Amino acid sequence: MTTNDISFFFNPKSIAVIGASNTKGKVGNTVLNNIINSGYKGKVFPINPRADKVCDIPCYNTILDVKDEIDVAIFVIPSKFVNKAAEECGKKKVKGLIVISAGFKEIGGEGVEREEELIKIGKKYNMRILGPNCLGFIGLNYNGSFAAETPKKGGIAMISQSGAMLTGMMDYSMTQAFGFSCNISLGNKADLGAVDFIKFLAEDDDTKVILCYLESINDGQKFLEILPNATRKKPIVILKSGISEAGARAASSHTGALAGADIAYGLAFEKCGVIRAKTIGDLFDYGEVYLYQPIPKNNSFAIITNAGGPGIVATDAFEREKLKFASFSEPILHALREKLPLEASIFNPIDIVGDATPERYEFTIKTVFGLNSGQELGDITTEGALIILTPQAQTKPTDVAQIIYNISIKHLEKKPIVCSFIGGKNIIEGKEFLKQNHIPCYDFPDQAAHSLKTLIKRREYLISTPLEELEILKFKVKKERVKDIFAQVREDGRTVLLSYETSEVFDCYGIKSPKSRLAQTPRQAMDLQSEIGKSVMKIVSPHIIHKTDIGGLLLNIETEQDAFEAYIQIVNNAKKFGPQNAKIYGVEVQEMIDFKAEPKVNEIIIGMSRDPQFGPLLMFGTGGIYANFMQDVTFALAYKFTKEDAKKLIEATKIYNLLHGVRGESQSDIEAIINVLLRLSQLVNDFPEIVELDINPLLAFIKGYSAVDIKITIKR
Amino acid sequence: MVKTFYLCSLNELAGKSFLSIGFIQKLKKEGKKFAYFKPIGVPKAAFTNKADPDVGFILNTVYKTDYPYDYISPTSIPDAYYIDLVDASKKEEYLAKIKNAYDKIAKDVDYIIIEGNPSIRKFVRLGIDDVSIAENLGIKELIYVSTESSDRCIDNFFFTKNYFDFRKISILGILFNKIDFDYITRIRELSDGHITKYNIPILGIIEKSVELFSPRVNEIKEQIGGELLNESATSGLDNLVEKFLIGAMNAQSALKYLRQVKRAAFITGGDRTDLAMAALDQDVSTLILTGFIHPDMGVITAANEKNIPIILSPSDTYTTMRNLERLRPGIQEDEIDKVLTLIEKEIDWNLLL
Repeated sequence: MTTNDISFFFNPKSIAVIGASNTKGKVGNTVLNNIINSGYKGKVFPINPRADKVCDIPCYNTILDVKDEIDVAIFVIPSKFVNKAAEECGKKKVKGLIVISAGFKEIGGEGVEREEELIKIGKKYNMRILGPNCLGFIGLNYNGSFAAETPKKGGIAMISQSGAMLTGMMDYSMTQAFGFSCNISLGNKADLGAVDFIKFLAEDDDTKVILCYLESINDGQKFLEILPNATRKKPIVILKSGISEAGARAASSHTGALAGADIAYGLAFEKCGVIRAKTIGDLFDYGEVYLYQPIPKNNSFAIITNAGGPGIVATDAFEREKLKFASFSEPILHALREKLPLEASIFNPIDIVGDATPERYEFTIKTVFGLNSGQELGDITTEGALIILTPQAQTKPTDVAQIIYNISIKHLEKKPIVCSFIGGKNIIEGKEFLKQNHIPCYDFPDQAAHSLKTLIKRREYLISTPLEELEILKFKVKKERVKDIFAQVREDGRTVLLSYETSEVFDCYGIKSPKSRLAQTPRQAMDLQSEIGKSVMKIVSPHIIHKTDIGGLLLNIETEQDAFEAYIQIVNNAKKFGPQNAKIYGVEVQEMIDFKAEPKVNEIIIGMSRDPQFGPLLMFGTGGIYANFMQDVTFALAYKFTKEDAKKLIEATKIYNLLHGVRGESQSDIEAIINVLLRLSQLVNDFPEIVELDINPLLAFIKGYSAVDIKITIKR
Repeated sequence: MVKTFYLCSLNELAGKSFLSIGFIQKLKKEGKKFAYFKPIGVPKAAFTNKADPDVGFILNTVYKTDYPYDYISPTSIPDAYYIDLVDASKKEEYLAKIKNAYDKIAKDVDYIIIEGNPSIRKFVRLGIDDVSIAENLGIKELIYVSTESSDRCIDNFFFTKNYFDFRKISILGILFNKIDFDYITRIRELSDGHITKYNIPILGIIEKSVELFSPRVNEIKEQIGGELLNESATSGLDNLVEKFLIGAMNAQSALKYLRQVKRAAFITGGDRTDLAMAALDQDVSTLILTGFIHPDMGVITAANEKNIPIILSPSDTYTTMRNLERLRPGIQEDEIDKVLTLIEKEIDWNLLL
C-alpha cells in the first residue's frame, strides 16, 4: 500500500543527500549548498563513503549509518548505484526519495529495467519517489535542487516535466514581482506525477495559483477525478506541449480521423476547470492575474484609454474574447460629459483623448466605478477595467500608474484592473511600478483583454455545478447481452462488429437502427423477410469490405421468394468474386428504411473515439459522405456527460441551424438526438473495450431518427 | 470384438490424416486399447522414399508404437503412373500383405482407426480399393468423410451410398470435414430429409480450420527466400499466418482490412513506413517488405518491441505473392492438441465409443 501523504516533501524534518560532494561544480555539491543556503532549519545528512565531512557537515558511508530518522533522501549518484541506495533508504524507513540522477527510462534498454526496479523498491518500502532524471524540489523551507539560485518566495506553485524549463522560468521570475511557494521538477514521473502534487497543493495555504508545464499526462482517469475539486479551490493553469500523433495514427473511423490527437486534452481541461496556456508567456500572464487580481462578479468591463487606435484594438479583442462592456448609468454618463473634454468619447470604451492628465485618468476611473465623493451613482455595472495609456507630453505615466494603484488598493478589492501601457522609454517606470505593485500591465491591449477573459472563465467555472453534483442519466439497458456479443466477436478473432451485431448492440441500449438479423440458409432468409418486411440483403463476412463491388448487396427485397433467391445469389457472388477463403457468416436481412416519405431528413454523424488518457470522446456533426470534408463537428468527453453537455454539443455545430429549421421548416427531433448521445455515452462508458464507434449517417426526421450505418470497433 | 473406424471419402484431400490424428488422441485420452492402420501409404516420390510422410508424422507424434512401420502401413503405392507400377495380377498378394499386418496389430486392441485410400475410387482397377480392402479384412461398415460445402454433398453421399449398397457394405456414419462456416447451418437443415432418414447418423460437422492449416512465418521466409531483418524477433518466426494482406493503399484504408483479420502477414514495400507502422499496431504475425528496400529504423524498433519478425523479400510484391501460392502448410507438432480439442468438440463420440 502506497501512502498518499506527500507533505514530507514540503516540510521534511531531515534530509539526506546521497552523493553529497565537496567538489565545487558537482551536482552533489550544488544540492547540498542549496539546502544549506536556502535556510533549511532541519537536519541535513551528507552520504558519501569517500568523505568524512562535506561542506563541514559530518558525512556517512551509507544512510543506514545515520542514527536519526530521515524524511527525504535526495539522490545525486550515478544511476547504477541508485537502486542499492534506494533499498537502504527503504530499510531506514525514509518517506520520500528525490532522484535527481539520470540514466533511467529516458535512455531506454537497461535504464527502463532500472526504473522498473526503483518503482518496485518504492512500493515495497512504501516510499514515494520524485523523478528520476529531474532537477529536484524547491519548497518554501529548502532548495533540494541543483538550480543556480533559489527563486523568490511567493504564491505560485510551479510543476514542470522539464527541469530545464523550470530553471528558465525560475530565472525569469527573478525579474518579476511574483514568487513561488514551490518548484517541482517531475522528471520521468516513475511514481509521483503532476496530479499527485496538484492534489496536495490544492489544500496548501501557501499556494494561491498552480502553474504546470506538462508534456504528457499519464493517468487521465486520475486527472479527471482529482482536478475538478482542485480547480474549485485555486486556479490551475497548464501549458501542455508535445501533441502526440500516436492517437491519430491508429484511427480508421471518421471520428478518430476528425478528432486529431490533442483535442482530448482541451476537453479534459475544460471539464475540470483547468485554464490552458498556449505559450509560456500565457502561463505567467494568467498566473500573475490570478495571483493578484480578484475574480469579477460579472462579465462587465470598462475600457479607459487616452488613444483612439489602441481603444479600437482593445474593443476588437473584447469582441474576440466575448468580453462585455459595462453600460453606464445616466448619472455616470452625465458626470463624464460634464468633466471630460468635448472631443472625448464618454461611452464605453471611454476615450479621454491624447492630452489626458493623471487627474483626468483619476476622475474617469473613479466615475465609472462610482467612487467620486458626492457623485450620484445610479447603477454601477462596472466590474473591472482595462486602462490603456500611450505617452504624450501631458500624460505622466508614472503618476497615472500611482493613481491606478491607489484606487485599486483602496477601493477595488473585488474588481480587477489590468493595464496596457504602450511604449518604451517613457512608460517603463510607470509600468514597472504597476507590476511591482501587483497590477498586471501588458505591452499591448489584446494581452490585457486575454487576461480579463481568463478571470471570466474562472468565474464561469466557479458558478457552474460541480461535476460530482451533476445528474447523469442511467438508462435501463441489456448490458449482459452486449458483453456476450463482444465475447463472440473476440472469439472469432475480429475487432470490428458485423452489422447485424451492431444493430443488436444498439437495440440493447435503446438506440433505434434498422432491424437486422442474420440468415444462414435461404429458408431462414425467407422467414426473416416475412418478419421484417421490405429489406436490404447484404453478405456478412469480415473479409469482404466492399459488399457492392462483389454483388454482395441487394435492395428492395419485397417477398419471401425474393429473399430466397437473393440469399443464393449473394452467397454465390461472394464465393465467386470475393477474396479466397473469406469466412462467410451468412446474409443479413435488414429493414429497408424508406426515408423518401419523410418530409425532412438531415444526415448526421455521431461518433466516439477513445483517447488513451481521457477515455471516450463523443462527436456530433454534419454526416453523410462529405462528413470528413465538411468538418462540421464538435467533441465532448463522455465522462460525466449530461443532457446539458449533449445540448451544447449539438448547438455548437452548423447543422444545428438546419435541425432547428430554416426557411419555415419544422424542427427536427433534437430531443431524440440528445437521447441517442446520452445512451451512447452510457454504452461507451460501460464498455471500455469499444475503441471506435461511428454512426454515419444517422438520419434525423421531424419525428424520430434512424441510425442507418453503424461501425463499432473493439479492442482485441 | 475389435471395432473399426475406417475413414473413406469420395474425393481426395478430405482430411483423413487430420481426422486420424484426432481419433488417435481421443482414444488415447479415453484410455482405450487401439491401433492405427493405413493399408496403402502414399510415398512422397515414385522411387526415392517408400514411406508415407503423413504416417511418419503420426508415428512420430501421436501414435508411438513398438510395431514396425510395415505393420502400420504394410504397402506403399506412389501417386504417379501407379497403374503401370502395380501389377493387377498381384492383387491377392497385396491384399494378403495388408491382411497379414492387420491381423497382427488387431490382436490386442478394441479399436482400430483405418485411414483409407485418397478416395474410394482409387485403385478400383487394381482391386485394392477401400471397399475391396474392407471386404478382405471382414469390415462391414465404413465412415464416409464428406468435404463439400454445397448441396453437391447430398448427391455425392447418395452416389456413395448406392455404390456401397451395390458392393454390399454399409456406412457407419457420415463425417463432414473442412466445411465452410456458412454451410454448417445448411447441413443441419438438410440432414433430416436427406441423411438421417436413411438411418445413417451424422457423426460430426467440422468447420474448415484456418488456424490448423496456416503456415509459420519461417515457412514463408523459406518459400520466398527472404531474410530476417530483426534478429531479436527470431522467436516470432514460429508465429502462425492466417491471412496475407498486401498494403498498397493509404494507412487509414489499410486499417479497415487489418482490423478484420488476425495473425496476418502484411506485405508492403520497404519504403512504406506509414503502412508498416499502422500494421504493427494491429494483429500481424510478420511484415514482409518487398523490393529489397530496407525499412526505417523506427519500423524495426517498433517490430522489436512487439516481437514481430520483419522479412525482407528479394523480389517484388507480385513475385512474392506468386511464390507464396505454392506454400502447402500441414499440421505442426505443436498443433496436435488443437486437433484433439476440435475433434472432441465437434464429433458425437456417443455414436462411436
